[in-house]
Amino acid sequence: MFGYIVKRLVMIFPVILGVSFIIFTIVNLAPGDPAMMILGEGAKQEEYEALREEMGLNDPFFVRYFHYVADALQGNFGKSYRTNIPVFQEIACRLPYTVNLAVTSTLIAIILGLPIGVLSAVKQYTASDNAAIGVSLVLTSMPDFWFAMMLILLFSLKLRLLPSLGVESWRHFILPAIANSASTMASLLRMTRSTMLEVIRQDYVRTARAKGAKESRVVFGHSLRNALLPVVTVIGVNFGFSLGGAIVVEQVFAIPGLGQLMVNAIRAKDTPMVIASVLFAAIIVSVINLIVDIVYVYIDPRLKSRYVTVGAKRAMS
Amino acid sequence: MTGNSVLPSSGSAVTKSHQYKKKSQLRTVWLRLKKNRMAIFGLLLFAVMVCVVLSADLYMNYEEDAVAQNLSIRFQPPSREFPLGTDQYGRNVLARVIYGGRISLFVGLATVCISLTAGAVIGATAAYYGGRVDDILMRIMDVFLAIPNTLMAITIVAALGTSIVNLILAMGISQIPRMSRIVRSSVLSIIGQEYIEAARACGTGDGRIIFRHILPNAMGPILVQVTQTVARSVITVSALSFIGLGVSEPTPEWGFMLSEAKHQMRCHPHLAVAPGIAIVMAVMSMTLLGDGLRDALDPRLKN
Amino acid sequence: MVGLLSTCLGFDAVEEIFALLSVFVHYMFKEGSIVRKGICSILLVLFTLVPALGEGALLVKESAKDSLLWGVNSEASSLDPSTSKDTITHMMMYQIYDALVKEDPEDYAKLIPGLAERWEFSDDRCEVTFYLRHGVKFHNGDTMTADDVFFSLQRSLESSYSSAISGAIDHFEKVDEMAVKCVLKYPSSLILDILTNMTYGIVSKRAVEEAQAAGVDFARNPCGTGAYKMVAWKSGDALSLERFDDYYDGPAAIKNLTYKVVPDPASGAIALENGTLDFYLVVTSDYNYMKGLDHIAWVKCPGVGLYHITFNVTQGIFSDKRLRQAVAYALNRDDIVLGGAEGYAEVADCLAPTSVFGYLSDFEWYRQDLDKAKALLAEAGYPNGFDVVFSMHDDSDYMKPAEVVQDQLRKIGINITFDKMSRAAFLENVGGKRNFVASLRMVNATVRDADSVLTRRFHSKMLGGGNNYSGYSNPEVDALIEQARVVFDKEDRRAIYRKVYETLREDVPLIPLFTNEILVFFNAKLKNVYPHPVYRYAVHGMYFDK
Repeated sequence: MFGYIVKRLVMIFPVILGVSFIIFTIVNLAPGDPAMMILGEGAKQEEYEALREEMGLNDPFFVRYFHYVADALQGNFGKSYRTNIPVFQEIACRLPYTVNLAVTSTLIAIILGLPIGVLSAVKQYTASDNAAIGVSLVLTSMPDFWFAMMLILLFSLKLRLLPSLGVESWRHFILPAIANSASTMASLLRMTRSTMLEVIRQDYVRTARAKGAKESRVVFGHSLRNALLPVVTVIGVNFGFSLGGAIVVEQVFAIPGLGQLMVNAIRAKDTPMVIASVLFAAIIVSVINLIVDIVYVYIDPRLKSRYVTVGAKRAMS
Repeated sequence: MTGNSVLPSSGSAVTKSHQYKKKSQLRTVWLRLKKNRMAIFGLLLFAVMVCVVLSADLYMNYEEDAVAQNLSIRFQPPSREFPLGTDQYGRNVLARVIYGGRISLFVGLATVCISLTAGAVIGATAAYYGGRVDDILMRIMDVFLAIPNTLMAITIVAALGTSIVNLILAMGISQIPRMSRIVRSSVLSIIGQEYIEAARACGTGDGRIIFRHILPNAMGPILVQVTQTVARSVITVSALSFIGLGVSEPTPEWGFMLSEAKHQMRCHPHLAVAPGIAIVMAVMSMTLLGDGLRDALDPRLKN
Repeated sequence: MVGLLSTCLGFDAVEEIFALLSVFVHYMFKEGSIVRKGICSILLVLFTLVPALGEGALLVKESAKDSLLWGVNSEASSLDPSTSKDTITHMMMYQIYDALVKEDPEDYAKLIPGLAERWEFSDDRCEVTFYLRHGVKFHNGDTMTADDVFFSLQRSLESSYSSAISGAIDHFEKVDEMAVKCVLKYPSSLILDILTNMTYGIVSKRAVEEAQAAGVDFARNPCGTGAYKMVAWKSGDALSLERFDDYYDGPAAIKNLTYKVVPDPASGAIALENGTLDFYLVVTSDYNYMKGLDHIAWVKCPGVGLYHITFNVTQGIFSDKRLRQAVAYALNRDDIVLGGAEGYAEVADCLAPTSVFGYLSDFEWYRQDLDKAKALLAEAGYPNGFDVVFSMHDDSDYMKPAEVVQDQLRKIGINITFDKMSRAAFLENVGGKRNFVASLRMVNATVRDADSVLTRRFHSKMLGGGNNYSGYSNPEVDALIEQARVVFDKEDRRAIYRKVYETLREDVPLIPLFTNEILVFFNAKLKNVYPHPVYRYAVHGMYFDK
């Protein structure tokens, strides 16, 4: 088990290196000269040239890439071309807001999606089941920016209940979190429902029912635990995605998170910032995938036996 | 020589059983799909939308109806002449929604083409050859998977410029890893089967085996992924157009129309509602179809 | 004791009392007769304690709300006057810094003393001496002297950011402790307007030198003399300012001023409507709706920007003058105003913003004539039209009129595709490398005179510097522009400009479209908001009503 974890952790490094190479290539293909962006129009030609030399923009492609990797390995991810602030600091500033948004929206998705999914499975083919499926379908099919605008119109303008902009208080995060959680909640609902349906028909559940166990014990005791497996994957995947930048939601609600940082950096051709923030997102996604896989192993008895037994066997022999 | 003379008969035996397998699987899937009312609804809805969109040129003219501006009739509410009203340049909103469907359809199909071709080649190769090749290919796919979809698309489009071609390229590339994974796993599940062994024993070339025997039978999960890709690409295109990295004026793409309409939501809501509903309908029909297919293919859900 | 006094009278009052007490002590024990000293001290005490006792009422104006949340679409690029020049950054810098000359907030055409209390022109009008105000404090506590002023002005002059407006200035000189002289290359009637620009804001010399020594970026740690000082700048989020109590013109009424970045204009308009934001530069699409709201007030004034189509006259398809004229004949600029600016603009008939001196309202531009346009196309060898790419900055202010232009040119067979770029790419491709065929852009008359636009866009000296995009170079026009700068009589200047416009009309390197109106919307309870064409709003005088 431990060996598996270590092996997966080690595998993250080549992946991150690969990501850095891809992003570096793409960003450098883009037109747009950082020197011009920084100095604006109207500066003299020599000034642009001088700044370009200083930023090392005239070196060939691979030289620049190697410089970048060498610096990064020492912990120096460079300074933003735009603001001259170290990239790490900018990311650290924005991180709390994005994490807050991701956690809140995942929680909302779980709190709403799981119970409704279970209920829906238990009461299959009734009106409430169909309603739940219908709602979840519409939610997955809606673009999140449209949902966000509708939410703002209703709760912020018509009802004047919640703020629509900014990050001052916990109330400011409610609407963005709901907007962000829509698709996660919908897929959680459907996933839970289908795995519950699958499990409910299994033999051991029928046995439990035949033995006279209470319905709720049947549902929660036996079915739910096994239904959780794919649910964990969905949660992990969506959490990773939110951290990668709920770009549109952050733009609409003026949340200064990682997504906004990335989009602005890409637009401004702020290469160090783009690479560092995408790398950051990639690392987080990889780590979360690893965590999900580990949790999976512990939950799924079939996998657990495979991994744990191997180790135990070795210990015994 | 003896071996060779045996070949044709065993070849035809393989082919016969192969054909039998294929037909019965397709039929089973279709029968099961028919029972799922939601999936059929999705299929029908999608079919209707495709028909309306593809036949648009028969009863409308792109330039006159969807593009030409007439500033004297701006912001008209829905009426007989303009069932969905007019927009800020006096253009017919219904016409724009319909032609917008054509663009979304085109983008969705093109994205699928790119991701399916590349993904199938990569996934099938990885599964078939296994070992080192498999490892390397999957590692490369992991690298692409680690970058969030939208971010990858934005970076590519920002780098290469905003145009439909770059958009399709960006979205196609970001869907390749997922597609290759699906192909790989479904190919792996087939590879162990006997008729593949037999084909190999006959000396059939690798490429032929992959394309004629393996892929057709792996179609099921691939089709499901295709529907999901189309649905996702419609949403991604609209999201990208919304933040200004998608299509350009005067293209009537749904997300682009939404971004132009968001200022008018309080005075002229019909401008924001129409394209939004169109997106929901398109994505929903694809999702329903995909779910239905997945249920129909799943051997465990035999009622 | 001091604490008690502070809480009773307000900290400022206590400081004043101590200052005066020290003067009083000086008089008592150093000079003059006792009677005189006695009268002096009584008068001094009366004149200071009485108003101070009135709860410091004269020192701070009343405002019902002490925080103003101002939404902006992009954040400040830099808070160092010498490295900034865009209007939004200057809007924020206007609260932090002062310049030598300033505009009267209530009437922006009138210039009044800023940090210079008066000025004198030399006889040949090639030199201006500014006599500085005494007792002006910087945010770091220093008192402003000519050293600071000279340092700031010279620094800004040498920076490339001021090149567009500093054409007339040769150099600055420190005359004495409280006077600085500006030496011009040629007598310019616009020098005072030029020096109101925030690029020539006055910084504290000590603060800049300390920042440099400590390796800290002064652009993110500003120190000026303005009514507000910077408290915090959260990158990409908000710039927080706080009232500077020692401001030379008295402390402001509103204590906290925050500029919050709002990336989406529609969300910004909604936030203004539901009261989250107090002030927001709404986009034209929302003007009509916002005007209908009771709790939102607005002010308007004519802008100083000229929206225009620019061609690359040296390379590409539009190097043929006939094609440029064809485009000019094809346009219906009234429709462009309607679709592109929702009607909030005035059509410009010559190549200058409609609201500045030098614009000739009786000048005639091409009337729409599709037949003539098609004839010119045929004559140039394109009877069926052609395809062309417009390189654009993807801002809705430019894209909306461009979309109307696209449709109008489609009618004569010219099919426009847009190559939309971010500001970075646009500045490089179009401004720097001039790698474009045509574009739609706006030029602001930063100094409110036609010269500013004509020089930047048409003078050969401005080629390759990101200003003369079109590449137009005509020695006659150059000479006329230079001549108009040094002439003082208004009618003479207008006559010269008429000749310039006639030549430009024939050559059509640029097509003038319109000058937009600037409307800003804000919380109706906010008072003393006066319109300004380039957003120089003095928050110092504003306050919230109950």
